[in-house]
Amino acid sequence: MQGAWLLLVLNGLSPASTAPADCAGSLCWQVSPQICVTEQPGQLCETALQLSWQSPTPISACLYLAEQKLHCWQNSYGGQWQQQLSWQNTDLSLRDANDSLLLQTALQVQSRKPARRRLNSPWSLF
Amino acid sequence: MRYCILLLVLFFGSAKAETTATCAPAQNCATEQTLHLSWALGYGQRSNPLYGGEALPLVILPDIYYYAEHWFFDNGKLGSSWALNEQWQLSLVAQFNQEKGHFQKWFGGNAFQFSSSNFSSPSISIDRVGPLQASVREIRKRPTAVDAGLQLDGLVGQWLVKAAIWQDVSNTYQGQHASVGISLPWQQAGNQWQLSGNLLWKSAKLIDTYYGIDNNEPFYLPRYNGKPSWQPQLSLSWQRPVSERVSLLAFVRYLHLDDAMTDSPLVRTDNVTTWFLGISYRMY
Repeated sequence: MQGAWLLLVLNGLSPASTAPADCAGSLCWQVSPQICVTEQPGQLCETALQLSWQSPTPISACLYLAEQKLHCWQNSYGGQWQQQLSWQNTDLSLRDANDSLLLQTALQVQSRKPARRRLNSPWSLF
Repeated sequence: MRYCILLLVLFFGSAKAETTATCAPAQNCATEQTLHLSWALGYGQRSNPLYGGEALPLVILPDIYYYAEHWFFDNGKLGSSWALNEQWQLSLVAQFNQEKGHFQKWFGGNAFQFSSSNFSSPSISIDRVGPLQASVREIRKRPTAVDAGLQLDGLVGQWLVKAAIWQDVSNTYQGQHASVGISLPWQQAGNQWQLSGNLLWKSAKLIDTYYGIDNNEPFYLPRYNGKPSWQPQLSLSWQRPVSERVSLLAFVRYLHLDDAMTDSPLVRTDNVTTWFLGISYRMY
């Protein structure tokens, strides 16, 4: 069902520079989108994820989606990154060379058609 | 007729009701505003407790449901729900009464047998099953009834709790029936299980209409006036998805019939047993 995965991406139509910034001290980043709305529960959100970060001092850091390493920067004051990704509820994080957490943002997937409990038993017509 | 009007008013009035409670994956979830239709192919049987009644072979089974924001249709049950809180829902529900299914092959679940035969033709030439018994072949046709009622569904820990009370709104048997039950769904190594226990109560008027024999029946049949009936039921279901649309499934249900049923000259056994084993394909 790759064709029906994405109905609407909140923040996704806005440039990353207008997304709200998350900061830890003087290190800040903007991530967009942070909330994705799918047609049905359980579907993956497949969209272009983009971010930019800024630091007053040069740092070496890597970007992670959950435990998957996506990109690394060496001795940089900032960086930009964009890629098409499939994700469910997970975390995006920026970690230094010692794997210490520098920044973290939750990526949420919400469904337009919520799931609810059935009120009759399956296969109960007979 | 006044019951039908009341039912419609309540259904339309419920359009302002709250949305429904949330669902965990193991709890038989439905996606709102999405038609779900699955077919199962396999083999099973539903026993018939009546003299002259035949067991129903189950070969093709449907599972069909649609849940809108405020109303639903699920395997023959039409309803409208209010979420009382995250765990509890109250529903106004309606469906055909299931009792006639034992008397007529083409009714409801029996529709897939493609047979229009029924057992309603009274004839003294039919072989008698015994002096104190009566065959479905010897009695008048039993009526089709529509029930409406209230159903309460809840989640207590891992247990699904259900209670329902029904009233005949078709002015057919003019009685009631009710049920309470609990279910435990669980998942284990890719298998989805559900164990359920239910206690059903059926009013004297219901039992009398379907299993009673009064003076409108042939003179040579033994007479019986229906009494209220308590019927416990146990069921176990298993499903194992093998792909996005295909699953293996099996279920077994055992319904025990008490003296109010077995005292009827029509009733041969004290239970109704249903089982099925097959493979299902989800079309929508």
